[in-house]
Amino acid sequence: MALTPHPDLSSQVPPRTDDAIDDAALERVMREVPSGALALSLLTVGLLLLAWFLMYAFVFLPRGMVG
Amino acid sequence: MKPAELREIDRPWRIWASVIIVSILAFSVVFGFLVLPIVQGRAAGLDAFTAICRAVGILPGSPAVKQPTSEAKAQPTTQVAWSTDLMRTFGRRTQAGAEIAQGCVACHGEHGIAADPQNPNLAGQSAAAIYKQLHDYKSGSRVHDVMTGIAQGLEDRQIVEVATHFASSARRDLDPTTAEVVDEDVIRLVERGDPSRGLPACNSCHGFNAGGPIETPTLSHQNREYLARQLQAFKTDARRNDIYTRMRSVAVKLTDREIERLATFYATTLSY
Amino acid sequence: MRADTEQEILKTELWWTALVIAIVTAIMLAIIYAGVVHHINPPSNIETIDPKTLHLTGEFTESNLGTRVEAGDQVTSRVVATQFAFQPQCIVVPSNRTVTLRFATPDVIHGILVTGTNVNTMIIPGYVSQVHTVFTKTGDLLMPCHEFCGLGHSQMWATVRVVPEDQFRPGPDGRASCDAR
Ligand code: HEC
Ligand code: HEC
Ligand SMILES: [Cu+2]
Repeated sequence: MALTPHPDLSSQVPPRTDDAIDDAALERVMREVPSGALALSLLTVGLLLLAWFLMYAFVFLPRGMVG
Repeated sequence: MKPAELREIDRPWRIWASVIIVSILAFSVVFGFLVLPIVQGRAAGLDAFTAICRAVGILPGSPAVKQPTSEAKAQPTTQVAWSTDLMRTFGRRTQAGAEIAQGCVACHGEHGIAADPQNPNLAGQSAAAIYKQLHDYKSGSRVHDVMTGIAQGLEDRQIVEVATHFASSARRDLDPTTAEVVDEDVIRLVERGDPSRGLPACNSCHGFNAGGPIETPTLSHQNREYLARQLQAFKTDARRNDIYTRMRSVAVKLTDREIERLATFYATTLSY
Repeated sequence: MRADTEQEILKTELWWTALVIAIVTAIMLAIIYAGVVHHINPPSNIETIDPKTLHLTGEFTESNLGTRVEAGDQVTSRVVATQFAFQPQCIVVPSNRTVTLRFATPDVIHGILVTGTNVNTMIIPGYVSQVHTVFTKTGDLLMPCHEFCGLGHSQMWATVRVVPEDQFRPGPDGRASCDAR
């Protein structure tokens, strides 16, 4: 049986230059910063920091001095 | 933009970044190696110089606490110390070794295999183990009516020779009628130990090529009565020449019944 | 938020940089606080000892191991880590008082931690490992070997018995052991 190409694959062929998205359109899209990503990174960094401080203040320091 | 222009924009950034990194480093060195040790050392009654040296790692100890001292006198359990030079002397068997071994046949048997099961077999025992035991008899770390006198009659060189001699003799054949008695509890002790009692597996030290202490003797092919008597001696502190209580700490946790079964196991099992 | 111009992108990056610097500074300040106020140090000790003759010479011979109160009321506990046991297997120490733990090994690399405390160090042949600490909780604490040292490693553990200060009664020679209590 001959293999027929999957229909989706045809759309992944490198676009010919004449129907490429023009630069201006690309710029327009990139201008909007995804604020969700920013919120997510703030949240994760914040949680990590919080965990560190909780361990430090409620586990490490009460366990007493080492040195 | 041209590369030259880009570099021009980048310049102040590079300079500032370098300044920041160098100043953080300088702060860390001054704070960690000077300020902190002086502050901590003062509270511990140390002078500034000592505290700084300790923080840097030139002197032993912590900048925050006084260093303990010890005027302890040595009371060693044995005089033997393993060095590569000593290990290297356990080389090939010599004629001299065979001659010294003639003095041992009465009790340890013609070829190092004792007729009386109360006496240990020496054939196939590791040279390091024989060496250490003879050395310990000689120095008084291990005491026995007969062996103490015999070992005191041997020079260090002769101990090495006779140890090498017996180490290269063929081991006792096991009696096929008693061999391979399966005793699950004992096999578990031998191979896995007992974590609830903090008992390491016997074979973590005594197993073939186990990688435990150098002086660990081989137990398989040994006589049952002798093994049981030694375990009892370790348990009751009658024998205390094992370095850092390696065997005493094990034997003290064994029951008399376990000692009997372990002795039987090692004396009759082929696999170790 | 928009990223219309180079300046706007740069501004976001600078904000993020400032945030990261603030975080690192906060953590460093916490560490400095621990050093200045609680006198906490990384337990490092550059002190060498010959592992071949450890059992023959002075401090780490069998009879000198365990807890002892020494000059200046300093409580010191000496422990040897050897394949596959600690000697002694139980040490007794007072709570709320600076205790010095000293470790050495004649054979291979071991490591210890005392559960529920900050005590944690490697024990390396050739060196004396030392940790000073103050135990705040009383009770029997587990001290396992945490560095694989051979086939019997998993059975290698000891007990640190922390007793209230008034129940810590060393003998006339300054020694205190678990059996004596
Ligand atoms: C009179 C009998 C007798 C003679 C002779 C004798 N031994 Fe022994 N040997 C013993 C006995 C008994 C023991 C067990 C001692 C004990 O229980 O501590 C022993 C133990 C030993 C051990 C310890 C074995 C172990 O596994 O720990 C060694 C090594 C040893 N002898 C070597 C020798 C050498 C080498 C000679 C000859 C120079 C010799 N013995 C001569 C009776 C003798
Ligand atoms: C930590 C390592 C270690 C473990 C675990 C260990 N042993 Fe030993 N054993 C030794 C060493 C080392 C010696 C030699 C002691 C000396 O230096 O005199 C020894 C000696 C002995 C002896 C005396 C042998 C002789 O020839 O004199 C017997 C018997 C013995 N062990 C039985 C056992 C049994 C049974 C177990 C398990 C319950 C066990 N050992 C677990 C290290 C160990
Ligand atoms: Cu270990």
